[in-house]
Amino acid sequence: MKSCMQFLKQHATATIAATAFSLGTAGAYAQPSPGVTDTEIKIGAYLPLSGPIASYGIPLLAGMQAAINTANEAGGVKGRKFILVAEDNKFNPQATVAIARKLVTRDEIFAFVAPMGTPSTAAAMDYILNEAKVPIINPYAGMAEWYNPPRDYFYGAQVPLESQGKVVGRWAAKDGHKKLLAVYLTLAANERMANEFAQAAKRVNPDVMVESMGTKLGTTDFGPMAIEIASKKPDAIAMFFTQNETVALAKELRLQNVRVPLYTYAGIVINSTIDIAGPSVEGMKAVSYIVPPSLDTLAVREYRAALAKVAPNEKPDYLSLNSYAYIKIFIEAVRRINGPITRQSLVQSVDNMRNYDTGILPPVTYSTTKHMGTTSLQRVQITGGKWNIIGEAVDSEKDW
Amino acid sequence: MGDFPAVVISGIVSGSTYALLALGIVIIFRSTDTVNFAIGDIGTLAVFVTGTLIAAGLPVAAGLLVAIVLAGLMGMTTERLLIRPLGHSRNVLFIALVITIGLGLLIHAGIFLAWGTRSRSFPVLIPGSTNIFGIALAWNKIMAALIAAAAMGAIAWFFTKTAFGTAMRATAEDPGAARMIGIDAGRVATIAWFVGCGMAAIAAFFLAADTSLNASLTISALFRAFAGVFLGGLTSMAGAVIGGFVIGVLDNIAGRYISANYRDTIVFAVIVLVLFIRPAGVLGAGRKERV
Repeated sequence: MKSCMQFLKQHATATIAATAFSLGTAGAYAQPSPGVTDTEIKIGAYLPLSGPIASYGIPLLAGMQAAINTANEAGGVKGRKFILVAEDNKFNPQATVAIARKLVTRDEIFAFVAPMGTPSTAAAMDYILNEAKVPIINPYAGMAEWYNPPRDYFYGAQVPLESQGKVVGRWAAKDGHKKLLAVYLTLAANERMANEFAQAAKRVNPDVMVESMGTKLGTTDFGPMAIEIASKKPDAIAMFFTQNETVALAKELRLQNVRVPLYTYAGIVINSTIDIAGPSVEGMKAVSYIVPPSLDTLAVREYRAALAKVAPNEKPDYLSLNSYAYIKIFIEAVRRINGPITRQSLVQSVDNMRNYDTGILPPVTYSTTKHMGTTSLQRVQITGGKWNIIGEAVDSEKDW
Repeated sequence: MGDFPAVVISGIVSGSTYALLALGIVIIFRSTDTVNFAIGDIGTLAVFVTGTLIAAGLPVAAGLLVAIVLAGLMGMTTERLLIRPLGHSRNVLFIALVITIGLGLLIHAGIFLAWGTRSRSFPVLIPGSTNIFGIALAWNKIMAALIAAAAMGAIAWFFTKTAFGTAMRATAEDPGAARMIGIDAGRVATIAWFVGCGMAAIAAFFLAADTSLNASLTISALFRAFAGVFLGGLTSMAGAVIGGFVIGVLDNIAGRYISANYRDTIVFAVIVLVLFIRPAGVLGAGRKERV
């Protein structure tokens, strides 16, 4: 991981040096937006690159850098190369506000692209959008209320947690399960997912019984919970935990011989879930924002090649593939700008984007009234020790 | 309530980890007046090193021994380089406490740098499980409890039946008087830190096999171990062990019959009640100058 970080830093330096030689063609633009020169477009992101959530931030950064390098090696966009300024916010919302100010005022970035963290983004959002008026494009974060009504300068492609709960509930009920159990962390977002899960299951079949059990973040001994679950004899269990709790409960359930289908949400769809939990999660079903990083398609092959160049120690993973796709969408929006590259022309370009297919996410469509690029999720399942696709992506807003 | 015996047994098995950590804390505290907040991180670091060696081919059982020795050596080094130079002034207790907190943070960061931030799988000593009173208990957890019991028995024997153990107890009771009769307090402290941190390595080893190996492996267990220490008494080794087991059982009962979400609250409410009645803990001596 250390060498990966060093490599990313070295590569960022090399990118800056490369811009000195690139040919600018946009010198005619009289009023360039902050972060945009004749030769470069500087974007920013805050991510946890240290602390316990760094296991998310580091691969996300690798995916972002991979997408940027791919675009830059192809000559950039409109004669400009992309420069990424990534800051470590340690997943701390208060620190994120200060970092956002630094990125806007000192680094003079053009836009925030693929920053990470729901609480972090919620904390910095007022400053970024209302005071600084800097666009945030595709954060790795999401709450339904951010998009209803749509906020100026704010666009996303990550289906909110509530919608994920909805799809998982519908899926479990459509699979024919009658007695469902939702286990969740007693955090507001996770509790809302569990509630949406129950309501969606009942909409499919009003006879479905759904029970819920909450537990605290950081729980490690799931023995008592597994014993209680065994006594309830559910047909299927939906887990709305972080990865550590999901793995610990799955192991304990297997130990107690509770062999029922397990369902979960996109946050758990990462390779290491299988590495750690092994056979305890075999058969687990989940919704995913994206296609598996092992998929043999052109878009995913390009991602794997780009990642191998920028971060050779970073295995292809859902996180880096996700941020790679988010950056691709941003770059495409810049490519589609007509006239000067300004923050206003960027949001206009995003507003006009229809059915843009990254080959990674379901196709994204934005408009002035719809700032969430997709409401679709890909269903996946662990079979043979790998996450595999099940059918086509489904729309969380529709009765699929 | 039909599964009550099983829940209690499961609690005892879980409590063995807390008891090991609690015993390590008390052994170190009694010998050097230091509340070692880094004990869990020292154990975790030893298990990370061991995990790398196991991945390279070291047998798992040998890995446990290596982890104990590594953690013990780290404990000895910590005592020699960071704690002993502080001397015996009145504020040493608090300075040492801050030093161990800082050391724990450094170890945590070091693990991130060396092994990354993602959780890793860790092999179990004995795979499989057995049924007791109708619930399955993993052999890994049972082994943890048996090894914990054996380690605690060995510690009890060492402190009560050997001359050096008696010397260590004498040093804990009155370091000045112990020095006057020729007991080498430095050597006592070194051994205590070795044994205490070795206990933590055993706990971390089985925790990693039970869940996954990550830098935060012992945080939750250490929280409960400290509760066990204060419940049993900071100065009593037997009290710490019993306290650790009681916390495990209470935690399981609360989680099974009351609420998984409020198990910590319930456990600590009971502890507060006990400490309200007996502030020094159930088996602790009322030495007010110690926290």
